[in-house]
Amino acid sequence: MPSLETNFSWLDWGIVACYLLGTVAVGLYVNRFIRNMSDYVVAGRAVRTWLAVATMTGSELGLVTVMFAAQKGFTGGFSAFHIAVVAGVVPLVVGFTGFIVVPLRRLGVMTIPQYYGIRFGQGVRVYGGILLAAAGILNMGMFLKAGAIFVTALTGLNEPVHVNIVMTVLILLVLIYTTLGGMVSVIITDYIQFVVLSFGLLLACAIAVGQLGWGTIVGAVQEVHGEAGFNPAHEGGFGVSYMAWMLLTAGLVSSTIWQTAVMRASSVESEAVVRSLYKWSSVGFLIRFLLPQFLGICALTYFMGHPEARALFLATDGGVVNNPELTMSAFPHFLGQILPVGIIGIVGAGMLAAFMSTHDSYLLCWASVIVEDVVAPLRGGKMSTRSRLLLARVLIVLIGIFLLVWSLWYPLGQDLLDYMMISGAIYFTGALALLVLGIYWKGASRVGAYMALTAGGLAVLGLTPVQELIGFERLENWLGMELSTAHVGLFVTALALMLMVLGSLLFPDKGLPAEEREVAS
Amino acid sequence: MIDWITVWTVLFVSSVTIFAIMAVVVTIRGARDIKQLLRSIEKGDREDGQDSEK
Repeated sequence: MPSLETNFSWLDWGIVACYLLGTVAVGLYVNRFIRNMSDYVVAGRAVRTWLAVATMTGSELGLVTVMFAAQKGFTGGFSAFHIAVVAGVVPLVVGFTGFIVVPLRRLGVMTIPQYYGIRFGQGVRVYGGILLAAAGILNMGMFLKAGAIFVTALTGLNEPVHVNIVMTVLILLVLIYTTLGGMVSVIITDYIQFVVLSFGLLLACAIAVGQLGWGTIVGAVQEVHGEAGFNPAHEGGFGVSYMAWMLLTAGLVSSTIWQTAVMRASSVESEAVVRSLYKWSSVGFLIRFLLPQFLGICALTYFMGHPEARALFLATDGGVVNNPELTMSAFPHFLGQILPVGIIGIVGAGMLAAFMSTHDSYLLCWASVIVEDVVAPLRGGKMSTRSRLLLARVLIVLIGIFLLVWSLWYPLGQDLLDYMMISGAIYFTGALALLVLGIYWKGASRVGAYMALTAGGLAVLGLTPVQELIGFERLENWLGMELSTAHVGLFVTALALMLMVLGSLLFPDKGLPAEEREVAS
Repeated sequence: MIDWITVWTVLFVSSVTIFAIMAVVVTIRGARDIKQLLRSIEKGDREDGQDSEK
């Protein structure tokens, strides 16, 4: 980690401590409202439009999102804004059309595998649930590390051991909070976090533009990235295949297929609210990429003017250094240097709130999937509410322990965004096929569903350590082209859709139970 | 040829402005919805209700 100065002071530590204690107190307070699994997982389906918008944005505008988006701005320049555009436009289209989310809300499902169960039978539900939970937990495997890098870089805790200590403290805080309150506390934290982080990020952008100047920022991107820093289709930068991959992942998947987004849609009180939620949240979906990406660009501009930092973050050829963990730390270092005392504390608290908000949403989500879609169906649905709540809470703790171990052990090897998209692809490539074809094509069958879900597992080939392990280079040499994360992801998505169609045509469903036939039609 | 600098500048300024307005509205009306949510769960009201705008 680079040793750079920060303005973070004891006053800022005090602000952060007060904030975190206040958040835990909220968790304790709302615990008394939880009476059943519906209250715990989808807040009794009683969430209204404005709170739903705040909580959807709050949950998705997490510290991890801010970190990986800022990293993309730092390494890709203004071209990274194309990710924000697709992330905003797709939910808007979903809001007007109700694509996927309205039929899901109509069915009243709490999780996506629950839909698999209704449409394709309990076997697909359990199989899909296992894949979803495994991919989801793997997907959040780098959250802790990202959070710890943010905290240590912002506060000036520069010893490598500090990252591990901070990771441990963070996961303990999150576990206490999540196991106590479930979705009601998650929603309230999301709201608080939305307020603090929205205004904090807007303030940080205003300060950054005021200090650096728009012309200097544009000039810095031009110097480091050239045309690729502005034109996203430029093959020296992101390229067309990466844009298509982002349209699918940051656009369609993160708003309609990703389980945490679906849980938000399931939490609201009516189909009308689902549509309003997506229309309004499209601004939040866009901003959650745009503001951090811009701050990442500002970090690049700022450090170019500081010889010591410039040597750290830029390679000898003038481009950004190829070190994902280092480039991830540029954004918090930048905040630590440009924000004044007191403001850093507020922004830091907002970011930590964002971290907790995302973490608790995801922990709750994956634990619920394991309970509702794997354990309960395997036990014939004979589980009491008390047993389900207890098991969900135990699973949250176990997942937390796994995340700590994974964060300590796994070598990232690629940009955080790319790690997250490809690990998520293990689940969503199959889920996309099952949801789209399951909802909109009567002929989709059980065998097709199994084949599509299984194909999604090939997405692990997009992870850098896996590629190194299996000698992926040989395949690239054989094909005569470099295969990026985007290529792997798009290929697996197409394969899953193809297998779903093929499996359904070759092995159509016969003798589905009456209620399943009804849903299918 | 697309003038990318203008495209990104317009996108950034317009998005930030819209988001700033939205943040104020959501902050105020979201607080009201939290009160309603806790009241609703406390009463055990699980029925599909009306949108808060109505």
